[in-house]
Amino acid sequence: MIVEKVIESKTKKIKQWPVNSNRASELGHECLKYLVLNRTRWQEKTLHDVRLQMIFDLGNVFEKVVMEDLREAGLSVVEQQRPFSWPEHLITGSIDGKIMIDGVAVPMEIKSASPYSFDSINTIEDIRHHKYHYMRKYLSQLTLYLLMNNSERGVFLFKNKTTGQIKEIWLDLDYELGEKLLKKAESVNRHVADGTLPEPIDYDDRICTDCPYNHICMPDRIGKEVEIVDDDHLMELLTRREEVHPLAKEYDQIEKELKKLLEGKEKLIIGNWFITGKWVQRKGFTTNDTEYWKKEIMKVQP
Amino acid sequence: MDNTKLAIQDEVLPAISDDTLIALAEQAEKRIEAMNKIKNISLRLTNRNDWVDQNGKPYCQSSGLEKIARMFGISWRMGEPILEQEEGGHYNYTYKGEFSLAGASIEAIGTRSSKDGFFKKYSYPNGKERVELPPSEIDKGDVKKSAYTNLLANGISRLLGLRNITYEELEQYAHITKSDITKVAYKTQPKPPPDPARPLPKDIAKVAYKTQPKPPPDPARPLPKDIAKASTNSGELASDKQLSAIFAIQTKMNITDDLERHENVSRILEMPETITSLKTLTMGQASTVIKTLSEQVKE
Repeated sequence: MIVEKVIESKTKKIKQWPVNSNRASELGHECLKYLVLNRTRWQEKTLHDVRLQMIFDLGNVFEKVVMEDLREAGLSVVEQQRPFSWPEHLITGSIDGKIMIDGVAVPMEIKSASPYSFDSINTIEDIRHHKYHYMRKYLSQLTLYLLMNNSERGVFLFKNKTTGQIKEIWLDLDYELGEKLLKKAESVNRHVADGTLPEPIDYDDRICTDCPYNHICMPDRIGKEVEIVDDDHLMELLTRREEVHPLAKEYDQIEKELKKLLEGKEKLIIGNWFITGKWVQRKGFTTNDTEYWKKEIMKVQP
Repeated sequence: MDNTKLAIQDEVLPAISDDTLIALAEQAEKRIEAMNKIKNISLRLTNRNDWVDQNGKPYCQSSGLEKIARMFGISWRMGEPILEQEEGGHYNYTYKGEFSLAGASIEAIGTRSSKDGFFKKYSYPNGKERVELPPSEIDKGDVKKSAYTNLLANGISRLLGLRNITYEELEQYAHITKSDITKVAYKTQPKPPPDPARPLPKDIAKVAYKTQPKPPPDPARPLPKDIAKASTNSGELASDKQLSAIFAIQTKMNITDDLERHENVSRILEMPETITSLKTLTMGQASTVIKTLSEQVKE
């Protein structure tokens, strides 16, 4: 009764708007074909669902909360939601605001994040290499704002949607990335003008599976086939690994704490434990570049 | 008229040697074992949000099947969709694709019609009464996207043998019960089989042919008496005659795929997993299977 009403109202907000320019928030998308389709066939884009609409709405709520936090802290924000455009490259966007720091108006983007995403980002490099492509796009978005605003620095404010924690990550203008984005915009514009479509990226599950244009693009997927093996020894090792994992974790924690508590104690008796210690000189060395096999073990279980 | 086909049918086929039969049987057993393993792992990858109940049966949505496809590394390629006009301004989209894994590949189609109740749009002119809007108001993109998703679901589930999953299997492997799943009830009767008189577009005819309903079995052919009477209480292994009967009836029913044969028998016996070899059936079990199959033939 109540929920249905809310869903109905949220559904009404889901609409497709004409796309006549390269949005700064989208230009970081890794697939050029997506960007061209977004300009030429936006009418056929699959609309997002109510669940995602609710997340977007929540993002707007959190943006207001952050603004309020800043105001309470005596920080001033100007030019909120000011639209930007760069006609030469057909790039448009609107910035969340500029925060006044030492008399300078610094472009600022506010992003709300799940606890996982919040914890996973602490530096610009974390954003650049994030596993979620929407997160990677943030970098391009702010870079374009910096370019359009002639600013050398900008800041991300991340808000943890569960705990309310806030985190700031500063971005120095990366001219190389800026150049790449402008070239990308030119390339999109050229395809739009010529009525051509570029090749899509190689199928990427994290990007293509939920792409709103996948029914138009229909990318070939070349899967890396899984190997199903019967190996009792391997199976035994994996099972045992799982069993001892909590103990290993506890052991590491204890070792860490003991190291701290026992540092500098040369001889010690406690209960039936006899402990000795000494400072040891370690010779510094540089390791050569090598390659290693990175594995990830995941248990398939309901 | 194609005389070649008739001539081939009249030829006497050479007997298959015992060694070949054994090799075939072993191959079939291995395949079934592998399919069981795949089913087990696949179901465990899903969660309750990936499933819906459709007319009392669990149906895995594309969200779940895409997870499974990623895990197994399924490859696919698909062609441009075909748009067909239907009566009353309605239309349908059909996608055709090829799905492959471990050297095996299948063709599949995905189709959706704007007639599907899911796409209908309504207006409320006087605030209360609901009026259905014409097909022109239906979002073509939604129908197209849905046909694409249908193709993915069909292709992945067929390739991995994930059709006809039962609630028992779902609970056993994924710990998902019927009550965990959102129900999708059809207001109307299930659609009748497609009208064979209606021509199919040329480029999808070949694929669509494979999905036509199987012809009904011939109820006129009686079962051999000695098989029908077979012991029901014996724990002894099923006799050759019983196994031949199971084979023959299923062939009559157009169940010719090894895996499908084994799945069908396992379903009849309510086995938790698909049986890997029919030779392990007891006389009693074989008798139950024969009886059930005979009833199905009569229906």
